[in-house]
Amino acid sequence: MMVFFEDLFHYPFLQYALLAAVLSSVAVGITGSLTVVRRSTYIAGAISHCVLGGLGAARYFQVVHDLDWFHPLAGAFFAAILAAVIIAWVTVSARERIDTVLSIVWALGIAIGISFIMKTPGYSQDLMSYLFGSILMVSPSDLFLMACLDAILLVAVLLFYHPILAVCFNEEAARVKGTPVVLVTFILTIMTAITVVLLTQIVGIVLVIALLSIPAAAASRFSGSLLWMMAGATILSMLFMVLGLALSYAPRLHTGATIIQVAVVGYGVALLSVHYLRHLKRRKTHGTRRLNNPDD
Amino acid sequence: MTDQHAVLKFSHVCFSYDQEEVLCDITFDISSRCFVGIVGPNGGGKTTLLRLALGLERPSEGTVQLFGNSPSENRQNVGYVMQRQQFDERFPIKVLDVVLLGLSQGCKIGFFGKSERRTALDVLDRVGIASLAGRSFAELSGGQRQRALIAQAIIGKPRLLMLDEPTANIDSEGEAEIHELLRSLAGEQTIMMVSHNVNTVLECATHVLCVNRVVALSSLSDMHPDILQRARGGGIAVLHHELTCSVHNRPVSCSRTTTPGKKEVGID
Repeated sequence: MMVFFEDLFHYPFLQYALLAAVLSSVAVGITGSLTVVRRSTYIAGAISHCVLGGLGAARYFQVVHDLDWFHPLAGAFFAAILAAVIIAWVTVSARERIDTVLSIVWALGIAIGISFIMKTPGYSQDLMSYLFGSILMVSPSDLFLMACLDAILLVAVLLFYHPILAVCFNEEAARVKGTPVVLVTFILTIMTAITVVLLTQIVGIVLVIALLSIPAAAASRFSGSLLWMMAGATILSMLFMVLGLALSYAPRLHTGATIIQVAVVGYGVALLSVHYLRHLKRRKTHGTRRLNNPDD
Repeated sequence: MTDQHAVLKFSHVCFSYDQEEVLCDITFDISSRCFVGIVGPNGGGKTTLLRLALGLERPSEGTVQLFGNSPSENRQNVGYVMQRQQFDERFPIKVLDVVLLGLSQGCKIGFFGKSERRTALDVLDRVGIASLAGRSFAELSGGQRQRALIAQAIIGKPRLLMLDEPTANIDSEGEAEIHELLRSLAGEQTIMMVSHNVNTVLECATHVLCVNRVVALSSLSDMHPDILQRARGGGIAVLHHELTCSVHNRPVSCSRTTTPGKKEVGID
């Protein structure tokens, strides 16, 4: 692990990776917390797999038809936003069962992605980088984009904290109070889409759900409010990503996969800590009772 | 009672879920400051009636008017405590923030200030749980949660308070506390409360509305003591039977004035 911190001062690509971990953690903290409290990790899953369709299509047109302007990231954004709009529309209109629509969007995204990737020369290399991410390949322009997206997410949450909280806590009660539930649902789903695209570069499509759910779920154990949960999830995500990056560097392990394994261990530690703290609290309460009632 | 004084007015309302008719040709109106206990069998349409009153559902026939207008236009004048609050047990929210949600009408921008927090604390004091303001909502007992949700519903000073099964899944001690709280709120605003608990209705309400596809509304003070006595022993079914036998889907209304001679429209 020390090798990573020594090399950090010499290699720009490691500095970019570290910055990417910090910047993407802000998005993970905000969107992950909203995803966990809304119990909508499957929405993030469906969007992330749709991203493969957009990435695959863009890469195909770039390589086979020389459309250089059609960057894979643009394809990913287009597919993610399209999937988010479809999912949000189904959620608010309730015309179809949401799990059915999520499964369809999920499967269709993979199917379109695989179809384009198979027709693109050098597809296997592309497929691996899309599925598992490549944080060490992040460029300064990617970092700028991440900072912009973080700013958008932060402004959206700080401005609309109460409508978002109301919809997440109880959608129907929020509707009665005149909260624009449809608008908030669309905003939340599009926020998820933006974050998924951002994280695809870091941990890849397969592991996006893990990164969106684990830090937030661990933070929820210690947080008294949604805002603190977001802050806690951001800090935990930074910790998991930097540790994963450092641990994977010297033994040349896959960075995205190592980050997720570190996050799972971190979640386990959080659960054990909560149980231990409860145990201590219970012992303290029993001790106080015995002192007050020595005859018991 | 003239129409413009009616808090809520149902005129020949029918409602169906798919092919199944839940409410059929419902006509009644409720005037200001009444406390109406809504009773009826499971699946009789009690919650649907509240949802129609709030404009969360649209009638397939007839009209619903809330304060003389469409329900969706006047929902901000209603405090609503829902049945089986659906929230994550681990949702990270403090009791004070739950109450403040009642103030976030429409699309509230930014955060609440000191004066709004003070108002929320005052309302929590009113419902008797001011000391729990900083606690996590998930840590509260069923009765305490219900008090917090009632505080959320009344913080905006609504003209109409709707409660759907406020004492469901609460122990007898918590139930007595909720009864006391509801009695203290009665008279300040119009209250409509769905309940399966006959004691809750008899102890708190001034009127009872029986709903089972059709409706029957009566003032409790006009009901024969024998019926009330049997209702206490036999539960809601007795009340429902008596009311639906005597009044079957007639246009009905309730008024705060319960003296038989002065009552504008009554049911015998």
